[in-house]
Amino acid sequence: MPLTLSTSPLKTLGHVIKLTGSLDTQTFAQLDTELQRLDATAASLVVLDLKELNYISSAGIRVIQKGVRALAKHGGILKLFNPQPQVAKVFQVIKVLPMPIDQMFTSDDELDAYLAGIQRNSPGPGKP
Amino acid sequence: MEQILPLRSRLADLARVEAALHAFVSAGVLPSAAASEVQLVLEEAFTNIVKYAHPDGRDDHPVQVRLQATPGWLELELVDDGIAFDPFAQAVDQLDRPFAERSDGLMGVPLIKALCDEHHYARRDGHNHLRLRKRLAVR
Repeated sequence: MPLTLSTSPLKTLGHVIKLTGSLDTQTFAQLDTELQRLDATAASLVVLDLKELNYISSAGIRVIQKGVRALAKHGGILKLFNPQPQVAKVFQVIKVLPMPIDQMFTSDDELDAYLAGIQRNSPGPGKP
Repeated sequence: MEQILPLRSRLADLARVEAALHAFVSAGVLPSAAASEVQLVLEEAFTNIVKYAHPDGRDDHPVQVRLQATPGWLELELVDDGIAFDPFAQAVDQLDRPFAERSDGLMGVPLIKALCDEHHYARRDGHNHLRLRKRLAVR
């Protein structure tokens, strides 16, 4: 099964990558390339939207792990959003989670609340 | 229903595994809900052979994959002629370490264990035999 990626800005706070299809040994390099591209822009927040991701193997988990590490080097973070049950099961078995309690969002409201929190805590123009 | 796939040690051959699973689903001997988990198990097991069984890195070593469906069970067997390699003995349990701090080797072994009801490894006649069994939902 192929993988399709669609990257868009996430308000002014980062980027969201929507994954559609399968993240496996044949397709993981696509996500790796995209994460490296965003990392090169010093992205502070990358959200992986997993609603349309039907399948993930350890190859996909590995590239997510690589992305987490790369972003962390410059203070960036990677979050997971709304995985399908079979994908969530893979995360559970490999113990990708629990990470910090807000590492994975399962609803738009949770994601919006997280983003609102970031905006509240960010200094505005002219503020220290 | 049984199917034996004579594959080679190249990841592209996973496409043939996927096709075989579709055939099992179409024949009604493998529930489609289980097919995705079986595909994942085979991808993990086959990938480990490709990555670790042959230090020369060549992609033309033989790997035989056997799938057999019997009432209530699916049996999978992978046979290769690589170096002695028991993935269940090799895997270091890193799952208690923070995700970002783990090394990335053999990450799929916990998946194989979790998604199969039985897993067995044996070394016979210079070959690795990996046999996995998965209970199928009774209709």
